[in-house]
Amino acid sequence: MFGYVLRRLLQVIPTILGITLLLFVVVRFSGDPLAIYLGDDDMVVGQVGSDQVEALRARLGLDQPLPLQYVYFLRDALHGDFGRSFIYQNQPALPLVVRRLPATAALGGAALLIGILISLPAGLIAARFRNRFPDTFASFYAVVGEAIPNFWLGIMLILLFSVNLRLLPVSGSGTWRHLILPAFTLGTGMSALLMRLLRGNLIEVMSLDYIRTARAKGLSARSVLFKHGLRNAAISYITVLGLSVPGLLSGSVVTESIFAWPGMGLLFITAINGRDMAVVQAIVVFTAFLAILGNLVVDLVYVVVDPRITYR
Amino acid sequence: MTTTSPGEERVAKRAPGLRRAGRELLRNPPAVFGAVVLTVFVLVALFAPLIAPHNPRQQNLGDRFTPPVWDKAGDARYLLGTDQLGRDILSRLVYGSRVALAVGVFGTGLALLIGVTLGLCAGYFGGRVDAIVTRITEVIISIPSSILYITILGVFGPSLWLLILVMGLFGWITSARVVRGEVLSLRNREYVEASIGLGQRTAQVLIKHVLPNVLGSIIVVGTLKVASMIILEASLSFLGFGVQPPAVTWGQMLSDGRRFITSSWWLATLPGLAISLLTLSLLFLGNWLRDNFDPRTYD
Repeated sequence: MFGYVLRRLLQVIPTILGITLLLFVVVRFSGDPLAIYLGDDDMVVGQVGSDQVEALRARLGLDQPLPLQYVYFLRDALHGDFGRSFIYQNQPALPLVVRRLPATAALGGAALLIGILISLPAGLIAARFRNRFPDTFASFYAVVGEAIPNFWLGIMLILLFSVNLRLLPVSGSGTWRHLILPAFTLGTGMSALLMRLLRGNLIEVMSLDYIRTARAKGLSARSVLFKHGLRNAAISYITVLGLSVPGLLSGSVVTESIFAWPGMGLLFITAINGRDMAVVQAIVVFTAFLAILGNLVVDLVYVVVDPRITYR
Repeated sequence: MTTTSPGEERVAKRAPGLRRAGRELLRNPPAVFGAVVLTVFVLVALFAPLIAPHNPRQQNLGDRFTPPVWDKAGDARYLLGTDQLGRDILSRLVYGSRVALAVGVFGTGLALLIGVTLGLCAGYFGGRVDAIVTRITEVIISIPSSILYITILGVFGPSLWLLILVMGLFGWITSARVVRGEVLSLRNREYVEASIGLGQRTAQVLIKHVLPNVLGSIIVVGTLKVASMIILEASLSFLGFGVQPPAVTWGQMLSDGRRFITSSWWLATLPGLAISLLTLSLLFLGNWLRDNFDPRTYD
């Protein structure tokens, strides 16, 4: 077990190297980093005396060859140092991002909960009444849920519940009522995906021999479905929950900007529009870190939960 | 997720002629819906200048915020109403289909080119090649996709071609995975081994003998990919990082319309309906293709 965990941790290293390299290449090839540092304005670079500019360039290590610059970038990133934000009063970028985590986590958690609350019963019913009306309906829901863009769904929810029915606030944060619409916006697509997966797994599991045995024993259909089917189909369902981290973070960008939900997604849009590259870089690395962490946790839980998997 | 049992059914479905496929299609109402809607969208995009009743950029400040024609305040000249600048919504929707389909088709084409090549190589050569492709895959799926795309588009400045390029460069994961998996099972088949034994070059073996057998899965993955790229393009344009004005895009119409959501519901509703209809048609078609001709693929 220890060996497996260690090897799994080591596998993360090339991924992190790749992510930081990709980020470094994108940011460096987009223009003079000094101009970005000084406030993304070529004017500023022109105005500051060129001696001073060159001194600053040397101090930031920007006169070094690119591979060495990447090493510096990586070193700073591993220390959590992405530079300072110039939109948010020169604060260090990473703490600024981490402070937005609770809001995004609340939104993502609520969305996941909605995804589960819809997909679990829907998937069970669809598998139980396979190829009959409930199944057709659930499958239709899964496709429609995938086809409707979540930002449009969000706007339609605002139109219905905030503008017409005046039940819920249009945007903002503070109370649980503010969370409902964004969570549904983000959670609906999730529920469609989870439902399709659970249905597929259940149908696969229910065709296995031990299910036939359970039926032959005279167990009720419900008991077979729950005790023998669901328990075994649940493993991959749980896996997908963990793997949904990047998808939720990705979806939170557009959801948060529609509802002015003050999480990392909204911060990201503000930062990229203001070319606040320190914050942008911190968000890219931090969200990727969360995604890797989610993946890692799933892999480890998987090993603990499923006795059939042996770790070498 | 096939409804029929595997085995003989599957063999019987091999080598489907076009006519056979057509007959199969008619038995599946969602797939028929998908085929019809998709055809309409493609025709509309191709013949946009002939179909659009107005110039999509023509402003008529006297006719701002005209509701669709079925509303009491509607105007027969503007079937689906006008926006905040008095531009005809129907004409804008018609022209918007061009951007959506162009991004979806070209982005998917590029993604498939990369994904199929990498998947073929990873599956066929295995070992180090496979390990490298796996590492690259892990890097790309670790960064939340909208954050990755917006960072690149925001940094370099958004444009149609950059959008297509970025979508292709980072959208190939599913196709590479599917192809890799298929090739793994094909690699040791007799006919592949025979052609290697006959002294054919690797590239020849891959293209002549392996690729044709993976084509079914590629078509399925590609169809579904076009749908997800259309949604992605719309959401990027919605956030201001997609195709820029004066080009007309559904995402941008939605983003404009959102500001007037309390007074003019149609501005944000109609473009979203167009996006949903188009992606729905592609998903229906893609799912039908998967269930009927390629039960092995799943995402």
